[in-house]
Amino acid sequence: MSMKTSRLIIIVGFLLYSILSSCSKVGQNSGSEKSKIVVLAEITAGDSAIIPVSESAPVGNSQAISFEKITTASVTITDNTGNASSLRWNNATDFSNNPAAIYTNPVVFKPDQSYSLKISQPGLETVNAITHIPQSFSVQNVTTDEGSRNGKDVMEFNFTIEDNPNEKNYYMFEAVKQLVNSHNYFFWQGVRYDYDTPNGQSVYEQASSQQNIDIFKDTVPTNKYIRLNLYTSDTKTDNEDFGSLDSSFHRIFLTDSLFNGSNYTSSFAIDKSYFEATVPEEKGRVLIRIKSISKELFDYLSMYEKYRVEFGILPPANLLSPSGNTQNGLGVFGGSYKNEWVYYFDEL
Amino acid sequence: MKNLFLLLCILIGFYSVAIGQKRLLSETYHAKKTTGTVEEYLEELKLNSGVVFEYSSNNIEANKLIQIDASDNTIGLILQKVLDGQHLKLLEENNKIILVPSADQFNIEKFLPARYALFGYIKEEGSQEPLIDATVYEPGSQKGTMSNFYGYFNLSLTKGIHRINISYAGMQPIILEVDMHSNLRKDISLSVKKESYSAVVVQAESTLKDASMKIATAKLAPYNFLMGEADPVRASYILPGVENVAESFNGYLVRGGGTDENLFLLDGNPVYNPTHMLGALSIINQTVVSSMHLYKSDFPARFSDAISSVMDVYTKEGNMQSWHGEVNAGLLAGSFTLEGPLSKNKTSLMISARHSLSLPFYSPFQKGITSDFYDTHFRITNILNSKNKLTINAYKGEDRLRQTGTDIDNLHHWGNLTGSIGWNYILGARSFINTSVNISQYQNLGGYKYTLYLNDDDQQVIQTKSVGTYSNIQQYNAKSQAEIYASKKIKLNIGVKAAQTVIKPFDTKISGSLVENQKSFTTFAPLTFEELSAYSELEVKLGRHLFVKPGIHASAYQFKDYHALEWQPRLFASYRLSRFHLLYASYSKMSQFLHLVTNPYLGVNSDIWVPSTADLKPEESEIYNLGYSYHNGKGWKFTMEAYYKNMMNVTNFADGKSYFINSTNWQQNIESGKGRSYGSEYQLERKGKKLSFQIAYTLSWSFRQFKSINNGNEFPYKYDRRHNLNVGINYAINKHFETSAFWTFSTGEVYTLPNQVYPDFDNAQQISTPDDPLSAYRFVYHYSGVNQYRSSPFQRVDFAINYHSKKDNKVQSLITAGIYDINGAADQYNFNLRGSLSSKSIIIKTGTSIFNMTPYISYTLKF
Repeated sequence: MSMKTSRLIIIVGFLLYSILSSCSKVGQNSGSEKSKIVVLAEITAGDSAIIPVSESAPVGNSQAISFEKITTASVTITDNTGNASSLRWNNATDFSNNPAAIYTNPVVFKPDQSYSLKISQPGLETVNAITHIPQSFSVQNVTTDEGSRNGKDVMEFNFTIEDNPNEKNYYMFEAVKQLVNSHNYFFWQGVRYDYDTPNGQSVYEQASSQQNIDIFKDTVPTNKYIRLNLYTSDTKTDNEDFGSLDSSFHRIFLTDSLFNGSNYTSSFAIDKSYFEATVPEEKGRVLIRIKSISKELFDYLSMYEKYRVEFGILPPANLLSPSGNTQNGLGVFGGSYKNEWVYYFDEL
Repeated sequence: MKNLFLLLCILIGFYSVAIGQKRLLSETYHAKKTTGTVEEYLEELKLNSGVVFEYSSNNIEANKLIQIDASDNTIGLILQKVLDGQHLKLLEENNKIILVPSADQFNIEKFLPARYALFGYIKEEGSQEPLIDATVYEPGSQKGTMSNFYGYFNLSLTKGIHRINISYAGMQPIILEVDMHSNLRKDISLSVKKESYSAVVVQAESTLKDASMKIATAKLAPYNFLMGEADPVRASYILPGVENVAESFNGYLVRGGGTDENLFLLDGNPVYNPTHMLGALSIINQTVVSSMHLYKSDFPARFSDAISSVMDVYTKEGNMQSWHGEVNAGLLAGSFTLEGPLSKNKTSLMISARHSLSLPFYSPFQKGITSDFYDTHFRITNILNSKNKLTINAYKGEDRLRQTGTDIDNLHHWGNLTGSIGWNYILGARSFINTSVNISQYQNLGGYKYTLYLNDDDQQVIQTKSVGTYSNIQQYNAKSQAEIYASKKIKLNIGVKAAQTVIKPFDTKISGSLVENQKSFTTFAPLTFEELSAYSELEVKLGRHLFVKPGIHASAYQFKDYHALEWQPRLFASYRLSRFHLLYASYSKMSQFLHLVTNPYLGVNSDIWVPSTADLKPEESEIYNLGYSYHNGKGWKFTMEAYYKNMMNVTNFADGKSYFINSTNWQQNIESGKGRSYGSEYQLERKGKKLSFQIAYTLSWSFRQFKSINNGNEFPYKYDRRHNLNVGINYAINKHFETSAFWTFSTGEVYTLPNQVYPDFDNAQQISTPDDPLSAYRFVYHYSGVNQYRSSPFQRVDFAINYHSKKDNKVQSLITAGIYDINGAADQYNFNLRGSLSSKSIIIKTGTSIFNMTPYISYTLKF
């Protein structure tokens, strides 16, 4: 074999080897994606367990986007002493419009305690998640003020956090309006009648023609809320990372990395647009919360806040989704300790 | 500063070593026989040379056979051959030469005959345009050199008569006979070859001095044209390792690097976006180009500020003797170039202008694109005297482009302005200095409109948002570089540069409609940084087969309180295996202080340049390259290269942070990570009288890794394309007609899409937002990985036919006709999702290209 032929064989051989050995392992979207269990839960010290559980939907399969509620799952929460509590699907009408099935249990969570969650459902991968509810903390020097931001009337909320030096704290501030259900009722001949029903009104008209009958009002808080927009000028907050401080936010995030163990005074403003309801369905009470939350919840919610801001500005393929702490599932299972102030602006 | 002083010391040290000693033994002597033993030659010298000679036979290997040829024409040269490898040294006392034992091998260097420099400029006859890379070669001694970027050459020759071949592609070679008895300045003019289709004769070079790729800008091939518009930069896209990327800010990627990692130099001045029409066409009008080189494997020490490639473009100086011009009209643009003497053989002017044309019959071929652009080149050259030459260059260009269509409404507006004053000075017989002051400015505005619809029929709009970005960058620099021909085997290149760069950052504007007025953007405090750099490089010939080029580039950087010093060592070596076969290898460390942060997925030029800081360290790369070249001198050429490239401190938007920089804490939005790429490249070329072709194949991998992205795992880079194959073929039908075709194929790009969707967190907590127009469409898309999917492959076929009139004519015409993208293929794929609760979750794949299949014709008149 001549030198020329040998060189040619070596070169062609090397080329062929290069091409054959380079077959890509990155393939097209095969469409074989399977649904996963989704947990979107925040457990709070002092509150009972409310765990939303649903099923994700694979995208790109030309199916309408709809979320299946998982109502037959086995949901268990275990604390760090080994006490396990089973949660049951709560089919109350209060939760009927929720995209997730709500699992509840009267067990009350404690601060500075770790909890693990396990959700099993035949046909889906079992989900496990662990979180820790932070230690309790105090908020002092709370004052409120009237103000204006971006042409909107706001309530300035000023406060001082007494930061716990023994742990890394992740704070989150938010304000919601908890909606209430108001019921009008009266008593006639020892029987209670619901004035808000046609039958009750008929009985009331008949009875009130005979004697004077008082109508009583019963106000019950629901599990429905309205999100209130917040503003902050505090440059130490993380909110500058996903928007200008001139913007409004749903949540404000702050870590104690700059003031660990010291008191920290800050403030934020709450948009008053929904303080007073213009329609009866929006009546409720304003809850202002300063929370210390677990890191996994902080990470998830801060990315979720950015995602929410950019949804509608960026095409979906460009959005960076929040990622949580659930193994084999999606969503987040986080813990929080809250300081809460309740304000009433509606006549309830 | 301490380190820079150290660098200067190294420079001086290099120079000291390089200066060769010139002593006796320069007397001419011709050996009486061509073969003999060491002892026989020494005896012959003793008897016949007239020089008194002493040695002891015990100290030498007397029976070793030696061959002497005609070029060994002095006693010194013969002694070098005869005593090569022997442990001897030479003493010269009282006009007597004594050979004594030594621990070192014999070295005659200091006794070699006196050498003189033959130097000057090589120019085109008539126009006096400098010829770059012209070959100056002495066949007898097989010694040669090439002219530099200013046409300057310098060849070291021994005393006596020499016959020198001087050649340049497309020019009539000449043989120059020189009698060297002192340094000799000789400016040489070469005339254009009369015969258009003579076979290309290539002189086999003794060594390879760098691995740059000289781009043939004058070829009449489809890959040099875009719709009849000659574009020399497109010729680089056929080269292996270079990917043409549509709709990116500079049109090409090199060896797995990002678009910002390529430095484009126009007459030595950086151009930040050297393209029109989103990278489809370069700003370089072919008629103004003098030379183009692409550096991607070996980087000479003079280069820095780019970690992947350097494209070095030089424009013509202009005709020094008579006025000439060129007028061109095609589908895309109309242009003219005019060059001539303002003062004969002293001052020349070159001016060129091009403007896009909006021809009504052409619009159906454009895919929803309205484009308007222009560019102008201006150059004045003044020969002050035989040693000094002054040039003034200026460039200005601007683009405005609007893309509209289904799911797309983008606006782009960008422009470059460059200017420089250069001075070439021949400092004696062995040194050449170029000094220049430069300014380069770039501004870019990009915006897109994103609309959410209620249903798939796009009838009811829920929300429209327009997002606009604007940025501005300018650099001022002054630099000086010298070439010192220290001895026949050693050349020293040294230089210094001082630069100041000012970046003006602006906020991102989110509004209801696209914003084009730059004043609408809020600016922040300028980001200004300074850079002071110096380099030194030695070109050393070690024997006839080996060439090595060690070098170092050092850059000191300052931005506010942050200081950095980047040492960038370089090494290139080539070894000629035989007349046709050559091996070469290189190592280059490169740095750049500018970071480009961009969201390549948005489809608009949202480029924002930011400086290096304590958190965003300078970008660096380390490139290892191994190459083989076969060149048979009869038109066949084959090259093969393998490379591995490490990239450090490359940037990306940090996961979870905003794509939009609206505050002074922009550093927190940017994350730096690392990358690597590797692959092999093959190129086969055949240049024939009638048939020529070029096949280039690249096999490559490219990855990136960022702490907060993809869980910190490595992922394929967006432009990771496994295979890339380019085939170009030219056939000369006769003296007037030639036809050509081009086929390009490459593996698809990787892209990211969400794979799951699940309920919104607040919805699951039963928290509503009544004033949110998107409240019914809130859900969360989940991504399981980054760039986990790959698009379909890309391919395109172009065809062209050219007619040109006789080249002897005073007025010449060229007609080019062809079809661009015969198969109507896309040059980019966009993937997106459309989903709403009332609609369906669908992945939308859109294949886009700026042009459809387009027939074209263009006419060029040269006078």
